[in-house]
Amino acid sequence: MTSVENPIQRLASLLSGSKARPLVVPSRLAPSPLYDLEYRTSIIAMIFQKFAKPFELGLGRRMLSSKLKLLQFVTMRPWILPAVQEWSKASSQGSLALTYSIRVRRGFLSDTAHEDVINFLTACDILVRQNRHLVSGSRADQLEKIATIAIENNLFDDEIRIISDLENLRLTTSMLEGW
Amino acid sequence: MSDSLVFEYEQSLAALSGDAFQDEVTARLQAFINDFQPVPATPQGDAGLDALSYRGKHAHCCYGLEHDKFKTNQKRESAIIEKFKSDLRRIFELEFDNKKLKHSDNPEMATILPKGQKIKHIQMLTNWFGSHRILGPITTALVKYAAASKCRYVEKTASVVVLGPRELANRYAVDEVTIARSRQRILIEKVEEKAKSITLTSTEKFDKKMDDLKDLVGGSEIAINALRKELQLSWRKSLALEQELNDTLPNMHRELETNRSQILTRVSMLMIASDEPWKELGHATEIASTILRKTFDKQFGMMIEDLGSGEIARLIGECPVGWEKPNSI
Repeated sequence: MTSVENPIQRLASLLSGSKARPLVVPSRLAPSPLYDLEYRTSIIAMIFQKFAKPFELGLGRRMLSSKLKLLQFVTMRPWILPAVQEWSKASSQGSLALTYSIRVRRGFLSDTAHEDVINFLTACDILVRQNRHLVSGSRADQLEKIATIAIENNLFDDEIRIISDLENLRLTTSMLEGW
Repeated sequence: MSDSLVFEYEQSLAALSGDAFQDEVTARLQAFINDFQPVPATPQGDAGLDALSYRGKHAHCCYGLEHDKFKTNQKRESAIIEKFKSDLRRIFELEFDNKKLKHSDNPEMATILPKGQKIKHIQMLTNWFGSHRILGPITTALVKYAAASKCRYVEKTASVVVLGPRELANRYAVDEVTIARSRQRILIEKVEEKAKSITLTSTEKFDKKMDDLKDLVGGSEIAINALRKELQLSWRKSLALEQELNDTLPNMHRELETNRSQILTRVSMLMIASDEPWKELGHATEIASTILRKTFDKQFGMMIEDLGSGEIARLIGECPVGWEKPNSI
């Protein structure tokens, strides 16, 4: 790329010949909400409220940890829902074709930010790990409160709509394992 | 495992189009044919040849048809036939005049081929080979053109073969490097495609900055409008890449987020500390590329420069980096 072709250099060249005053405001760099602990906790809370099932005589609620991971992944990326639906219909031993749904599977498996939030929630005794499940912990009422507040105040309309659509998604064992 | 790699590579070649397909085919054949020589289109066109090999005895013509442009197999067949017949006519120095073939000098051929060498074999490489109906018209055209041509640069008995993604994938070994390269090319195509559909929101401040720029630099309205479009395109590409990483490589997205913050800190520090802040802005893409290279070079080496440019455009677009008119203006 030559200097003539680079728009940033052309811009700099125009500005240097002017009386423009530089304005640098680092605080205007908006971080992605994907790394916002409160946002992620709210999504997890709403999904757990909707999909966790009662167990042990109704004393607690639980859901497969891989199911929670997949559902939160899609909820935060509503545009990938068609790819996940395609994945749901595909054979369990899919080819290595570079289709979008295959690349999304890889994305879901490597979402370590979710694991970090789950580690935080288990450290707070809000959730408890039990083999392949996540079970409501002694402070699970906090999660319930967050979900209720988010829904009642319409804080995450798009996400709530997607969570509702996810009820109709057929999740297979192979999907939850990533393949 | 090796079968899977071959299959994945075949799929990658089929997914690529245009220059990306030609670049990938060139990279692949260069790895296996010692004297595989790509032919640049400058200064006066490529004379119908995309590459030569075997001391000019073999010619290679590439065509990566645009998948969205041709919806049916019949249209794809026609497009490939027409493109390759057109390449053949140029190599044979022919053109149609009232539906009749007549000689038409292709002077660049003499500047490309070794002196006295004639092409004996022509490979036509395409990203879609889903129909054998391509073959008849092309081989028929070869015979017809050979008969009508003065054959200054091609043997009368020259042969032609058409190779599609499967043939190209099977012909030589496919290794992890080949797969990684093709994945990068596919990612670049996806990002460019996605960028077209991204709508930039909240551009008021960006628009204001560009309007201020017009006031500050009188008489450059056309240049600034063009610059605005370029910056917005780079900004959209940056957003498209971010979305792609977020969907398919979340860990890389996390790294990008960290890198973006580092880029801003570095560029801001240089601009604030300098007596010539705009000179520092001119180096911003270079700074961004250096930072991004540490994380992304292995996987996205081919697009680091674009990525760096996109990140700076985004910082300008989303406003951490900007400019204002002095009060007197």
